[in-house]
Amino acid sequence: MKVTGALLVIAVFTAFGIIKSMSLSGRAKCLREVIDALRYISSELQSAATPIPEIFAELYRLSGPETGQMFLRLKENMASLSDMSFGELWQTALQDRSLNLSAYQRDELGRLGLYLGRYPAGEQCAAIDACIMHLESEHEAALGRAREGRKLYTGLGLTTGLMFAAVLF
Amino acid sequence: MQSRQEYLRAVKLLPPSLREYALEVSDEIAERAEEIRLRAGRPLSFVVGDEERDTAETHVLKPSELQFVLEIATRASAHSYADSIRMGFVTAEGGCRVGLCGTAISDNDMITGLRRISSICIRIPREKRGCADSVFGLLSAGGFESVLIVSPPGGGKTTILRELTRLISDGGKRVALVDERNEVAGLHEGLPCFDVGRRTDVLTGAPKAGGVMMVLRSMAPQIIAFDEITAPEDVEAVYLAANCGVRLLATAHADSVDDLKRRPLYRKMLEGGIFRRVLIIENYGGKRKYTVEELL
Repeated sequence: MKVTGALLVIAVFTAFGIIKSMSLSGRAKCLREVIDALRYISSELQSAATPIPEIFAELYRLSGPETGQMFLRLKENMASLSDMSFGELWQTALQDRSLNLSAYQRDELGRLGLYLGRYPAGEQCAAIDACIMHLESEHEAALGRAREGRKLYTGLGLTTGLMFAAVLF
Repeated sequence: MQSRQEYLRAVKLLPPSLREYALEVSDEIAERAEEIRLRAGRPLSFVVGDEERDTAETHVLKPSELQFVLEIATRASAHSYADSIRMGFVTAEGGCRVGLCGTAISDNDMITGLRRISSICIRIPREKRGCADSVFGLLSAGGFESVLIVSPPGGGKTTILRELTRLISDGGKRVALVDERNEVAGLHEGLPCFDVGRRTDVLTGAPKAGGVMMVLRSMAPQIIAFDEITAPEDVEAVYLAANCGVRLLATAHADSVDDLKRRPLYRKMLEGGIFRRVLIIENYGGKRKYTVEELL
């Protein structure tokens, strides 16, 4: 009975550690999806001069779980374009809580709202490229943190679990 | 009622800060205004007949508000309208033509775009049922012959072209409307905002010469209608269509037949005998007078 209890405590703490480490990799996943979406926007602008509302509608269809809500919001909000400027719509969509991004990463993306849809395709793509460059380095850092965090939090969870098991049983 | 709706369609292109001024105007302006004029540093104004009327002097337009108008008109997709912006206008939903002025960007003497928009002119397209009734009989007497509609800019050529297209089409002829700027039919998601007739096929976005060839091949029209012959390529389109045996309905900027003949672009076309009739529109403070002249 004691052995089962001890194993249970260890398992619970280890699971907490694993969940925490997974949240770190969520940031990297979200950044990856955002970068892929920006690349898609850039290619649509350059190759087909696709209107922005159509790009967002397509991105909503193609996007993964991390960015789906943001593109859904953008797709829906484009109907209110005459009441709010595109820059404001873009900023509002970036405030979506489901988006696992830091304030700095949101600011970098937010700046794109000043360029998207306003200038010739070449200039928009240059702004997108600059944004991708920043986000790529953020993605690298997030991946590194996720790798370290996986070992750290799993180890920490396991150790804490063992300690509690030793004290309790 | 309908003219007010046409006005409201144009007002939708204004940002909220300006919309409230535009919605407070008198019924006369809402029903008769032909253009909404926006100039940075000046108040909003309306062109009614021959005169331009200012609204509240208290609200002076900011450049950002003009930029917002362009954003609304292009649905935040300036890149999709690059060719059109290069020519100084965009056609928004509902066939509203938005004329632009600002700082031109040029490369090798070619205008490649516009920056810092300083003036905007929103044309309010009006569907005036019955405006061509008085001349339609004259134009179709003895069978419909090719007609050129002439007036100075803002004279109402597009409005009467739209109405004549509808009358001819509803009268049983197959009409192909090559609507390069989408001002005549105001096509939106495949449906025309204006009634251009039950037997009218609309092609938008195509340059006239290419568009004429396309509709000749695909739609076998009896009459081809298009707006504004302004360049040698447009005259080329006229020849192409005339040589294929279809009748034409087109417009051109001029005061009179003599004025047309003075211009090299039109002179050759008139001498070629393609157009048999000219419909001249004279604008007297918003009231139009229509005259039909036989050319041969």
